Amino acid sequence: MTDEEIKQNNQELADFFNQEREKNVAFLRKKYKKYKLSNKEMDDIFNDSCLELFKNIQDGKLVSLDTTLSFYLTQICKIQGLKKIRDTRLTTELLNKYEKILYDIKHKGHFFDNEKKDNISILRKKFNFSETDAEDVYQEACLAMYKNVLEGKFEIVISDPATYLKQTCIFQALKKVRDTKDFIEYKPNKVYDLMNEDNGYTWDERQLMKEMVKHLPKPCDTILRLYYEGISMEEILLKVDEINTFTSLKVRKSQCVRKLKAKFDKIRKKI
Amino acid sequence: MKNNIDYEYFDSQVDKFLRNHMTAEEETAFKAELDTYEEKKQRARTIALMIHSMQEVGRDGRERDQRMIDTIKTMSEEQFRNVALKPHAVSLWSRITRYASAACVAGLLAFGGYRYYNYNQTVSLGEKEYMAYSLDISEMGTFKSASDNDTNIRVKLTELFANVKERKTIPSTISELERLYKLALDEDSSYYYYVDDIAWNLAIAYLKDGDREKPIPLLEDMIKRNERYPAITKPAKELIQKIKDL
Repeated sequence: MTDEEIKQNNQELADFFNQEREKNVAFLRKKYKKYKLSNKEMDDIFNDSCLELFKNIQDGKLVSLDTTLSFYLTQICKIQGLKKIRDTRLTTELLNKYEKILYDIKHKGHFFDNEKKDNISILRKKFNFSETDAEDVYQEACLAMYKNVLEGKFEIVISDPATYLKQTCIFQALKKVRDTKDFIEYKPNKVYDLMNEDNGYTWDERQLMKEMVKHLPKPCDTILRLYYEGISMEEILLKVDEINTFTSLKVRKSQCVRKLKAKFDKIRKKI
Repeated sequence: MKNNIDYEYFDSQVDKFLRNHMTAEEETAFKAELDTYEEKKQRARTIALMIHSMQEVGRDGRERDQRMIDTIKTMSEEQFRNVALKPHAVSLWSRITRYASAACVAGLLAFGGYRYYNYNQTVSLGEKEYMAYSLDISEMGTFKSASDNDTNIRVKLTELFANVKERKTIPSTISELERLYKLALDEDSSYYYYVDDIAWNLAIAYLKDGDREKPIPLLEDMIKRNERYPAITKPAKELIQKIKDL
């Protein structure tokens, strides 16, 4: 590799991490608002996350991605944030409470019954599941968690048992969605043909759209990018913090397309 | 018809069409609809262009991500830290840090590529030294002798110095600082009061750009101009030595 290439690659990395620092600190501030993390703590979390990413790459755990590097880094930040909260905010009292819940789970107490109503409601809202489907997913999540607790895989270090169960429900729900939905990719020839109707778009117009797509505002950037990559609406809903229901997401997606189109039409007239 | 389009439904139809998810009859009806209603046709075309652009941008992004993963794979932890993490202001001057850096240098020389090492160490030195000078100079005021009507200049310099500090847009920042440094050498120029601040930041910018030749004459001139001010000459002399030691 030449000096120039090394320089370019390093600059690309520096720019990436600079942008990510800003984005992830804002994310942590919002996500863990109630724990009032200081700027230095958030900086430390981000630095630890970068080093974790580095370690994963060096250890061969991360060779290629099926998501973006940015999203991957944010997921690490989320976990590192929880670790920091556990180490600095959780009291012995709270940790003892969690231990009691684990004991309850191991001895088939009422934990799963107590959490059922909330989780079913989340599953129905976020995944548009019927009552029966939501119940099935909840059962599977409970079983998975019970098994993990018995095998000692459940780590109190990351979160409280109720949050862990909620995450397990979401994971099981995504599995169900992926198993049952048939995702068909866009056919390049159809996209191309439709795009080129009426003599097609000029080079300038194509570049304009590309730039607009690159700089879409939030949350349209995430919604449209993931949607057109073939990610299910259910999964997108989990990645867009601002939107909580399936219906709102569908409406927002349509609005994003409409706004993008309107802006595109407005600017292209000036070209 | 313009106001009666159910966009949500129509978009899902376009989606089905582009994914080949329509029956032959549905497809014929859909095409006829596009031919009849110009607004629908234009919306469908724009959606197709958007999908095409999304895919292109996504492909570019994936290539960039993969390139970054491959770059990180070839780096040592020290190199990665220099590029990705924010430097800490505290303890940069401590002997311990310097000795630790020396130990890292020895290790890197043994295991890393020499050119890669040289470039990254130069950049790393830039990261560390910026903080060092800022701390020292702050005791006597970073913008010494600045008068009230210098606000615009100060705003401009603050922005450029922040670019150097954060390692943002280094090439353009360097060319602007070079221009201002030339102006600042003229005693009649409004920038004259900031000549050393500009010189120091320009030297650091060169280091952050991986260049260890250009900072030396700048720093030597700083020393000449400020013989009676050890707060300025000391970090300048130390930095020259560190560059020569690389």
